[in-house]
Amino acid sequence: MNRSQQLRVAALGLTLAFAGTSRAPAAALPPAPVPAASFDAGSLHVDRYGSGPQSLVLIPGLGSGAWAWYGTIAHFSPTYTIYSITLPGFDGRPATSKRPLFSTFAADFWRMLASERIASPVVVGHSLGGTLALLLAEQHPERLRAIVAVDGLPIFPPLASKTPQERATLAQQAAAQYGSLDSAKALAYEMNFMRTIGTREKSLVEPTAVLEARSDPKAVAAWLQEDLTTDLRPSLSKITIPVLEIMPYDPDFYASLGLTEAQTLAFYRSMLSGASAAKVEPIAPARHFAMLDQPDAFYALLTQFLAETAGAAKVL
Amino acid sequence: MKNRLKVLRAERDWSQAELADRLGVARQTIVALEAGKYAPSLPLAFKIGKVFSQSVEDIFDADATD
Repeated sequence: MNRSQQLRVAALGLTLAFAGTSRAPAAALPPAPVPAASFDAGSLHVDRYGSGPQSLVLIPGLGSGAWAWYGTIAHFSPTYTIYSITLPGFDGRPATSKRPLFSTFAADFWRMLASERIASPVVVGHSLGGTLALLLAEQHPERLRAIVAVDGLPIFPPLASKTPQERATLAQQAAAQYGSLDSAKALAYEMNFMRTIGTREKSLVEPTAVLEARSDPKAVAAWLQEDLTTDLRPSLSKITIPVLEIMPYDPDFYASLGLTEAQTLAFYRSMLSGASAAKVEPIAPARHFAMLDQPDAFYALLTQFLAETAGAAKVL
Repeated sequence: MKNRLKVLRAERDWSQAELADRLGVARQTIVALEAGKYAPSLPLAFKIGKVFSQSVEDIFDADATD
């Protein structure tokens, strides 16, 4: 991918003027499943669902909540034990004053695995959640079976070619901007984001934006700042477990940027080239919330990956 | 889960991409379904039945796996 194409990828994160299109029939957000248990683990809120010897831990993205995984939970809870995490400050949960947020998250996550006796889970994260899954896999690959990142990379893609100083400046500006939003402006921002980048499904724009806007703008800003300054690429070689990166590709959107699916795939692969057991699978047509835009394709890819990574340690 | 998707598609001379477009799903969904590695969601199964004008049980065999 040349510099001009990288800039066009960068425009993804900045362009908010594209009107969504959808040929698919109207989709609704799946209903909320009922958790078997809910508890707090340090700064994290956790809902547990289903049963099964293999555990899945779900981590939503920036400003998002368990609602992003409702369909996934309904689909996999008959055969898996699922722990759905809500990050502090998101989806109506209280924020944390602890910093850095990434290391606070990781410490609370490892304590949760120990206290709940969760052995070798598969961690599935969306966006920021995918980046956090990569962080966990770099820290303790031996404690995880595998990880899945849905459009979550070791670095925020539009900033991949920036210097650390440039990223820090941009992160500070972005965080200051989002942190200053009142609730009405945050909702307007989320409506725009979901319409342009989040989903192809027009019927999902408003309900998901309303849910996103339940998050504390200041908490979202703090997470955003850490996300934009994080670069996990140098330590990807520590990830010795299988990694599945799911790359949403929407021709209707990317055509305006002049990016083919093959070029986008090459970019995602280059971002994960340091992880020896990483593979990238596209879902098309889909936008950032691929599990909402194309649930069947997402469940199929996850089902296949779980079957591939089910090791000898799995209790049957 | 075994199914007759590939045959039904061939009878109509549709590509996987064309069937995906008619169903409003990603082509990866069709690939996974035809490989028999994935059972479709209920709404998708009904949509497939409608596209081929056949009942769900005439297309999918819930008792057979590859």
